[in-house]
Amino acid sequence: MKKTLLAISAIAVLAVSSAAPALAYPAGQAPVLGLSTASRIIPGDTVSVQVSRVKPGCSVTVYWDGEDGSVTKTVKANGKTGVISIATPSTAGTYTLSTNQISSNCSGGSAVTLTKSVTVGRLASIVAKVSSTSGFASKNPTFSASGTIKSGSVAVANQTVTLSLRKNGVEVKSTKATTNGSGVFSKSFTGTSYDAGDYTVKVTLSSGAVYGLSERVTAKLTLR
Amino acid sequence: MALVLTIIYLIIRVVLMVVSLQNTVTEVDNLQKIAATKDLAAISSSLGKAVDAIGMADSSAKDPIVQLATYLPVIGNDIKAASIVASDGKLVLQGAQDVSNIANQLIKAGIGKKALTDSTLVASMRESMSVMNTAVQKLNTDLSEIDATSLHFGLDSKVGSAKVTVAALANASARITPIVQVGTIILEQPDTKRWFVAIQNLSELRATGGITGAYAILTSKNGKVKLEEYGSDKTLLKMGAIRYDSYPEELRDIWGVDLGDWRDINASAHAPYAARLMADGWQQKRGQKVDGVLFVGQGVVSELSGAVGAITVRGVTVDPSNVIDFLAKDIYAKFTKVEVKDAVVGELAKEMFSRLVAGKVSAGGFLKSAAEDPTGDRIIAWAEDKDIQKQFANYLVSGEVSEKFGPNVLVTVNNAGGNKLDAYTTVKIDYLLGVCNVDTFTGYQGRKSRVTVEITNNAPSSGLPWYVDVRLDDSFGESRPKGSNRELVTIYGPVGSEAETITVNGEEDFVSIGTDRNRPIWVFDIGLLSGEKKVLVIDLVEPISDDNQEQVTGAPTVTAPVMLNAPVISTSSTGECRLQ
Repeated sequence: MKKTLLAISAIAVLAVSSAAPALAYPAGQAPVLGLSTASRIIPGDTVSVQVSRVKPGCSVTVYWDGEDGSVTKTVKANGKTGVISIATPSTAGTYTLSTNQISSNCSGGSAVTLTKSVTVGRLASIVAKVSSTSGFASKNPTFSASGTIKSGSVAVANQTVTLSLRKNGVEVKSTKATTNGSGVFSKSFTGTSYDAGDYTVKVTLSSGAVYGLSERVTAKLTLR
Repeated sequence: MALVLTIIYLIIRVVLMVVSLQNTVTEVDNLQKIAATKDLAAISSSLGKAVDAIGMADSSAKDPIVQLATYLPVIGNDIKAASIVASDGKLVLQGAQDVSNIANQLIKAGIGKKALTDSTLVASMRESMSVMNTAVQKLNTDLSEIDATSLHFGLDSKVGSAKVTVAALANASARITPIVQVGTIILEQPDTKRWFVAIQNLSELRATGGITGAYAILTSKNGKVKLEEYGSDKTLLKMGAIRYDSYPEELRDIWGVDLGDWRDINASAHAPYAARLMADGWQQKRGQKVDGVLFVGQGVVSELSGAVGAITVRGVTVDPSNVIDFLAKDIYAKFTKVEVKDAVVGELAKEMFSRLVAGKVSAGGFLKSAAEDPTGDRIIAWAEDKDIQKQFANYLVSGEVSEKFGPNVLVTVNNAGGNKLDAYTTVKIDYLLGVCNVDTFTGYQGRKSRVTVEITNNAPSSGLPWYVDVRLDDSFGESRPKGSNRELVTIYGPVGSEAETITVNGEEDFVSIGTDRNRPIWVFDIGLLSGEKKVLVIDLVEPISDDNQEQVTGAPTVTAPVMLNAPVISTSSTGECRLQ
């Protein structure tokens, strides 16, 4: 067996390649949208970005998808735009930072639009569960959802969350709840009857001035 | 009176332990002589005697009175050292005896020559090798923590000598065990499986090791392996671009690579991505299903060279002492024409295969060269079959990037100069877990941490062949004297972590960001002149709680790049943080 094992690995001796320049070889030939930091961003603050590996003299515009405003720079002789400072959106959330389409002449390869997903503001962490007063549909149970929302060690208080009760992934009932001072929420789904099946609750905290969009789906509860 | 009796008892137990260890040494000396005969049955029997001898020493070492005596002044460290050697050494010798027994049975069963009649034997070999490796690593760790200078009665020199021997054994075991784990999993497959072997050149780094310089197609069935085909990267390139629909869309532009190009597709640290593309590519271009992919580099070559002995090709003799330098550097200077260089590699491989098939191998040479292998190479394996892949993952040979929370980071290097200068690249990585009670913006309780990567280009500024120090990347007017290189250094942060500051040589820098396997990644585009060193630092805030707001624990770990020059890794922590 040892010989066979050795034979399997013997081919490693051939690990010397030949080089042949080709499009996009070696790595790192395409234009790059670089950031000096991309996290812990306060809504409304500016971030510094730089587009590099673009032909000198070309124009590059940077903007947030779906938001007003943009910044345009001309690429320098070193293939870089230099520092571009751009204000972040004023509402917390996850946004796409984008460039205009960089033509094939300017990229040296294919025309390309550079994008980066950037989270602005804080995110909250949701822990939730779904429960029912009975495990049998024939007993006309009531479903409830409860949980806790925190951002790190800080309770997310007085925030409204949307609770979507779903059977096999399809919403059957929706309601809202508000967190207390400890970030705890609890709410029953009333006014309807339920068939047998697998139920989950999707908890959604919408984005606001401080916290970005957060979602959590509970473990499933089976109603027989 | 009781105290006197206890002291007498302790003396008897310690003397028994020392005598038993001396008997063990005698048996191990005998074992070395018997090993030269290559008679596995005799080796196994001799190992059994050594196990019996060290078993008596271990029995004394585990005695609570003896354990208490390790805290005695003056002689406490001596007793502790003997105790460690007895307890850890017993596990090592037991493991060696199991491996020897099973190897003997496998050879009798005609492994590799006949179809397997009992696949559990192969699995037993894998398990016993894994157990022995764990024992050897533990012995090495425990021995390294003994301060030999504090020992008496001649133990200082003996333990000092044992440290060196065991460290070499641990190095060899750590290199050989993954090969055995992968090899036995392949051998025990009852149905025909096709394996694509990506033969990497670590002189031009990629995240899984190196650029795919050549490939081999193996088939395995029920214990037998056949080499179906071998080819260079030229053959792969002639096939044309492969479709890469299976590759995660969000990662397609992060390293600026063409995923349809065979040379570029192993840029991510998550080896299954590249493996999947290679399997898809072979299916697309050859119409053959590939069941698995193996990534191997030049480091294994030095071990094989030890196994098959010196090989002379076109006037050059390659043996364990020069094979790594030859394949990484010297071959380019000696054979400046690429087609001649490729032919030399082919002839070398052909001779090596011939000797392996003919059984002209030396187990001792294999072990010795593994112990002396200085590279940072390691085998990585992927399989389409989920159960096989799970086995690879369990043995930590799958190259999978974990998506779980925890204080672990990965660092990779992708050569962006299109050259072979990474034979001269060295890397040091330090990962420090710092102050607690800092929340992440991503919603977790966290702590501060710092990842420092020091990368140095040790290439000379002159004298290298064009093929080695060429720069194929666009220059954008920068000064790129001979010996200069460009690297894409990627740091994979812990799940949920975020960067506070990013610097290169103390200056704020721009990096490409992305997410790979649920982890934030930062890609540094680094230019390095000949002899230049750059220090990349990311200050992080990383979670100590998970998505369920529960504590994340564990010591800091770093998964280092697969490189010719083994990276130097260090980790430290200010201690566990507690949830508030």
